[in-house]
Amino acid sequence: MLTLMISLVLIPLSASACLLVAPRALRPALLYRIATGVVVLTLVSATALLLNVVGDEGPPVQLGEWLPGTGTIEIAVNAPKLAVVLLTTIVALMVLLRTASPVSPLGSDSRSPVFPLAVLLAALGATNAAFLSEHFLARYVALEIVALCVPLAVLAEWRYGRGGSTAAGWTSYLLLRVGDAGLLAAILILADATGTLEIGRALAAAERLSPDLLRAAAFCFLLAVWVKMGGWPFHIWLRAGEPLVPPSYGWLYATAVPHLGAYLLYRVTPLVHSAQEAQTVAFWVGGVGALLPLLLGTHSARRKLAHVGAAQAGFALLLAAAGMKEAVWLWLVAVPLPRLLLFWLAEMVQQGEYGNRQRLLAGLWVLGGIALACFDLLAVWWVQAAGASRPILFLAQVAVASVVVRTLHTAVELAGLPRTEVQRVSGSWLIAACLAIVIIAGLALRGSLWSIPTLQTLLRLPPLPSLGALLAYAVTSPAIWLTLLGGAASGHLRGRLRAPQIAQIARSESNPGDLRLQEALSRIARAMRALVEITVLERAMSLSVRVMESVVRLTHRFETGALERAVSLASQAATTGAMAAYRFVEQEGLEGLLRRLVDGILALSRRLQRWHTGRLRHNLAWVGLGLLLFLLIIFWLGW
Amino acid sequence: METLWLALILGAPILAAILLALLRDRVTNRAVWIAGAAAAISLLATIALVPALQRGAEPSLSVRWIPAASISLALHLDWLTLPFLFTEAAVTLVAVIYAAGYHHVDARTPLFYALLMLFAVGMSGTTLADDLFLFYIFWELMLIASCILIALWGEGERRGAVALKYFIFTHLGSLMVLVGLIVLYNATGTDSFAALRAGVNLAPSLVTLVITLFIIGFCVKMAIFPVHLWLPDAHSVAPMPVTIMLAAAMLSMGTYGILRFPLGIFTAQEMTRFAVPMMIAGIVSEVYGALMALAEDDIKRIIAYSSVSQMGYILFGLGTLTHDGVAGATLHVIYHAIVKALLFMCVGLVIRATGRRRVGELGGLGEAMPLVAIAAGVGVLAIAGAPPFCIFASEWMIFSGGFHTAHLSLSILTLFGSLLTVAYALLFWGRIFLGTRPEGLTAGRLPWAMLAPTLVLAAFALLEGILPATLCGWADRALELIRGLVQVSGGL
Repeated sequence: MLTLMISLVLIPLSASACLLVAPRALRPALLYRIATGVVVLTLVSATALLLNVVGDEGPPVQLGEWLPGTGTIEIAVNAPKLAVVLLTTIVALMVLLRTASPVSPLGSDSRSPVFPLAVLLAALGATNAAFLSEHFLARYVALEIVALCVPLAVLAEWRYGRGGSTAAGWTSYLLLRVGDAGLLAAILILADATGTLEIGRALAAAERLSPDLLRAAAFCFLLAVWVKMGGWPFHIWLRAGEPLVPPSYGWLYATAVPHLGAYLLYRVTPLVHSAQEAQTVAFWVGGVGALLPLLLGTHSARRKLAHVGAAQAGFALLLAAAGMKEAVWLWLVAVPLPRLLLFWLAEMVQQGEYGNRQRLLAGLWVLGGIALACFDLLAVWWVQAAGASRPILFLAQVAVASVVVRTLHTAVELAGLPRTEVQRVSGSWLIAACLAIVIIAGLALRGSLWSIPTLQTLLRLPPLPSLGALLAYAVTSPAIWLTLLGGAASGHLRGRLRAPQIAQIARSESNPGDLRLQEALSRIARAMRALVEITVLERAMSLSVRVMESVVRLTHRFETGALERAVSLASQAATTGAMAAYRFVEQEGLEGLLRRLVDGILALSRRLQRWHTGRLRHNLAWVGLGLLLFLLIIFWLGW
Repeated sequence: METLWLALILGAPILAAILLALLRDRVTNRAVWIAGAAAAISLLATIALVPALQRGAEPSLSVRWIPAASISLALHLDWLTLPFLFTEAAVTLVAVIYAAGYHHVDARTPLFYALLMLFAVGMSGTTLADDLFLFYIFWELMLIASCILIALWGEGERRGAVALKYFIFTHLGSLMVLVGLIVLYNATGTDSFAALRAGVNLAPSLVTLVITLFIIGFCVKMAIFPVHLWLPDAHSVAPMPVTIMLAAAMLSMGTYGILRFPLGIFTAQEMTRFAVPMMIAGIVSEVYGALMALAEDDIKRIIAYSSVSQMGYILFGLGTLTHDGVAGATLHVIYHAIVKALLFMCVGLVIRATGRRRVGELGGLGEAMPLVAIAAGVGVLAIAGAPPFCIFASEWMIFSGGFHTAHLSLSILTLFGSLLTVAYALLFWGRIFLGTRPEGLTAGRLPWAMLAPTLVLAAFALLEGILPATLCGWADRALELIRGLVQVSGGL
């Protein structure tokens, strides 16, 4: 058992170290195979452990004290924890399999992927350590190492001329450190109040904290969780990973770090729930955070996924605010696979790997999106049952419907994509299809998870509504209907407004020099027809669509412009402020003050010196004054 | 045998300094070897005394010096001395090895190394002194030797002015310390540390005065805002080996002073009223130093301002008056020494290779100087408090100490203030080693004498981060000699 536990951490870490010192001449395909083999080994260890501990908490294993005075570090396994480890490792394996495919442009890339793979394996080891650890210090260190892997992944690819800007990588790291600062503050508050860094004991004892301390700890935990899960507006740290190869982005950025955040949320859910102010804030941040990212417009498939991920973080936070710890765990288990499916599809679009299978692509996209929306709906149902307020429920319901609308819009776009010249479609299609089957099976057997007695005992899973009840809930929710109707109208009208004739008019209007009378009349006629076709109702709808599009554009601009600018402005302000402070305080203020003081003393000294060395009467006056002062002092001292 | 080792810690560098000063022309080319051997002996002697301390013995040496004033030449090694002595001896050895590659040999070279040895003697003597009078003599020797080194071997035309500024500032601090020492001497009638450790009976107003004088005086040496103004100039103008010793070792003398005098002599009750001012001064220094490092363009001055910030962490830790905070501050002294020496060495290597020191004129050096980039990367991650590098452990303890106090907001403030450290550290590294290389920027070959100690320190920063137990144990034992600690009920 101990060997298996340690192998979950040590196998990937040592493989990462070996890759770094491996001969540079190794072929990329071989390196991918080595990395895949290591992940398979880790997966086997996790599976073996899970089989050992189902139905029973494994005994904690004491590893010894690392930092004197912080207590013995323990690692422990149980079924919920191992399920998350297993799932995270499965995602790593799938991403690697997809990338290592010989047909994949990245798999056949001649540039060595040694550094990205080494970073991925190191992050996998640290991620597993973070999941397994039952000691706050060990978990914090593991989380920090994973956070460090985030900019390292950018650097690893930047070295080969791939990847994004290194500045973005540093920004990601800095943002993750903001979350880590929150986590550290929360840990130290708990440790001080409870006298232990052992996670279970500290969290159990947290209920006895004073309200002030409980509130402070809960807010700090919330900050840490929200940053790591990439909730709005902290999702901008995910941006740095967008240009990276799939192992880096698809696993490290989009899965591992958000998962670690979600797992932390799962552990601290009772604490957040019991601190009233923190609970209220979590409800609102969750509701707004679930909706707002879905309003952000973008054409980048990866960024769309980042937005969807940010929205999912909002739903997880809603569940935590409702105090549904087990539902947060279900979120951890249920959300990654549909997200992975969407990620692959986005990759295929980006790489042009689909040949003429656009409709299949669109269909799978719908499947993944609807799976996410179903879970989101379930989350809202639970949150409502837990007694969330109406405005928060409204936001959440609109968010659920927005997931559907966004999925359908993207699917329509995918179906209309031009065919690509691909001779052989890679094996990733097979994997994608397998995944789709898994999701469908999961949906079909929705109740089977609840029927496993051991899981029921361990997790005390929340009551699951029947499919009919869930559908009825969706149908009877005006917010969902309104959003769906608005989305459908928007999609329809966007298609109409982008009709060829109108586009043609727009194009011809941009080249007035080429117009001939006959052509001009014909175009005017076509334009008139197009205008007539659009009835009053459609015009009203089109106006609302335009308004919505403007809002989307505005939010997009806000995100890409204002938010990024805010970050850069903040850093600029810090630097400029620091420079100004430097100039005024260091050079002119303190030094100037000092210089003036020295100048003053020097001037006084020179004057006194002149009295000494100048004319005789000055000297005599000085002597007289000196004697007088001396006498005065003596009299003052009472002699 | 223990007495011999104790004598060797000071004797070897003193002998080397005398030899170098007397045989100047005859040992020009061998000066670095003589200094290196003396520094190595000093370090070995320090390490050789650790088993004695672990056995519970406290090696000491006492010779009557001025009987009329009951002044003796007394040296004493205890757990509080050890971390500082070890840091100073190790940094001196590293600086001398680095100087072998950095310093151009000329007729004045023996004098350079002789003064370097005297500087080291000043620091070792300050930590080993068991007598007020001797403490102050070594304290001033440290200042005089380093001041001459800056004045004679400093870079640029301003070296004279900078040396003078450095002297005036630190001497003003020394005078405050001197007044405090004299008051203590008058109160107890003895200049022995052993007697002072037993406690002194002073009027409350006098206690306040003495503690204030000590804290301000030692804060000058620590370069805490606003008495830090000597540091950026001195560090940027001094020759690199001297900068390394100033930043990595001499700054820690201020911490030693605070631990030995106010915290070592006065009780927790007497110290409590100084806790919050010390914590606030620490936070201000931490944030201010980091902001200045962000604003600065000269790579040497960036690291110099980083020292102001790091000393802020230490003062905050001391101000908590808790076991974790003070132990963390003591540990931070050692780790800061390792990392600061490493960063200054990397800066020296960049300056040597490119001839440039402005951030705007640098960039893209990662490809040309991969080893230096890795070493500097370790340095910046360590100073940013990222695990598994060494400063993480000490920062954890300092923050933990802060959370043991009743001042939650101050603790949260210092924790979030540390993000500025991350910002300037990453910016510093990124702007030198990443991006595109400016036109005309070439990187010359680097001497191994400069590169080797840099890589050793980088490896040590990582190793110590992974296995911090030994040095943590030292810091923990040092606290047995501190009287001014507050007992915390819920401590870790």
